[in-house]
Amino acid sequence: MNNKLIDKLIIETDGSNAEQQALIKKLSRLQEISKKLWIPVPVGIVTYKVENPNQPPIQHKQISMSWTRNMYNWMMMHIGFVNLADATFGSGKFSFKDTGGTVQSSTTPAFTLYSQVADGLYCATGVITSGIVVGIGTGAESFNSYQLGTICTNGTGLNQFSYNACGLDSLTWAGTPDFTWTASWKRILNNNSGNTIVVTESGLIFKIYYGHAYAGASQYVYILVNRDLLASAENVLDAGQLTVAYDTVMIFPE
Amino acid sequence: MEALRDSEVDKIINTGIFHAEAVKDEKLWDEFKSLSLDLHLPVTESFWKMEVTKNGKVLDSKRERSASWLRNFYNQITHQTLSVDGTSAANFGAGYLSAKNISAAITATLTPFGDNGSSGFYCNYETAGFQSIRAAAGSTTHGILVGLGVTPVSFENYKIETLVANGVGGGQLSYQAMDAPINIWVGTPTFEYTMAWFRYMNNNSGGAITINEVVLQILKYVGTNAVMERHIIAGGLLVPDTAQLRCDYQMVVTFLE
Repeated sequence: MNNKLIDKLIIETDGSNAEQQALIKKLSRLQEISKKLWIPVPVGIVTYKVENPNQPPIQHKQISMSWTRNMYNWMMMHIGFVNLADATFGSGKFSFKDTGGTVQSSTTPAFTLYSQVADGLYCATGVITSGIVVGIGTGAESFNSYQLGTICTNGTGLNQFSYNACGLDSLTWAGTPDFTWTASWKRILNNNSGNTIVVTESGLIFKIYYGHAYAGASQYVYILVNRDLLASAENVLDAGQLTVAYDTVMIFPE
Repeated sequence: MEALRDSEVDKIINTGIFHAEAVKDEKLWDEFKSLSLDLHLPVTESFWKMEVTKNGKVLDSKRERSASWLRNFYNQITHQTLSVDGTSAANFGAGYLSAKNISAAITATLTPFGDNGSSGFYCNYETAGFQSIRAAAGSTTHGILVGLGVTPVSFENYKIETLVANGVGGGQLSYQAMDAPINIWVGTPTFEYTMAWFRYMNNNSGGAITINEVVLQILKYVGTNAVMERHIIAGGLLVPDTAQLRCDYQMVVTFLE
């Protein structure tokens, strides 16, 4: 089975990691079946690249298996064409929990509008309300996560990173044999804290938009849609740089 | 479960008929669900349920897997899940993120189905009159619509093939207003959330009508509509004169929990 996406993953992930290789095989099979059944499947792949002073760069890549309840509800809203109007958050509830822990619901749907320049995963330099974020928390991944365990804030103090803007690095279409759209969102973080930062978790935060012009109301909400524990912690030395790239792949039937 | 051999899967590639065969293969669905859950990915399934009644008696009832989301649908979910904007206002097809209306016009607003591209944003999936699935009585501009077409579903379909018009004339149905969807959560052990849109249609045409296709059509914004899902009903569905047809579009997401 010729499959460039999967071949690339096999090459770039740690070949000695049996668990990752088993997941990749499952992913390959799922990709084929989803094409036959015409079911959209968003596959996440995250890459961590560390460039420390006077050391060769280190890069790790892993399959992201950590879509949160927020992401499931997000997809449900747009696949089922329904609003999320429950006042509580959890099993069987239609709602979001924002990064501040507040349950968000509405009788209108929400969207990422201007996804590449203002909303969605885009985020400006020094701002960590959306986009790719990292942390030092070690709590187990949870389907109900709505924030990182311990986020690294922006700055030059202890365990702080200087966050560059989070932007869409590339949007690519791969034809035969993959038939996939891949959006690569990337963020560079500089460690000017004076100390090593041991990064153990990363996440994706969507900036979403509720509202409609007729009602004259609008509201931005920030929801964590993905939280990954790193397969192995990344030590970013003082004056070092961490680049985190999230590739989300949508498989088309074609 | 017993998995299909790769060679069996590989032959079910891309053409409408092979897709249609795959959809009926419950082993393939089982494997899809199992793999998705192992990889912590959302399992999404859809069904069409159709029932014909007359004088309170059920004449015919069918529930069929749909799995015929079209390029418009894929593009919409790609926009919203990958956080990306449209890529083309001129092309619709492989390698383009855009929308194709039932008039064949192509648009590439910032998000094809989430923005009217000019004066703002007025979407409400569940409220008639807004960008919505929910159609008013007599409306065939959007919502659940039925038709006579029998051509197999193509991923590139953007409109119903032969729409049954609203009315009481020959070959016409009286489309009823759509209600808000019914949402049902099933906890242990399946953890499935079902969202069901439905619509009644009455046959007061004076003759029987055989329905062969059903679609889910969204009102993007005023004056523009696009089909997101089209399904061919196996064997058709006979709706006698004075009978009522109910069509349910059921969307099921399996949660990890």
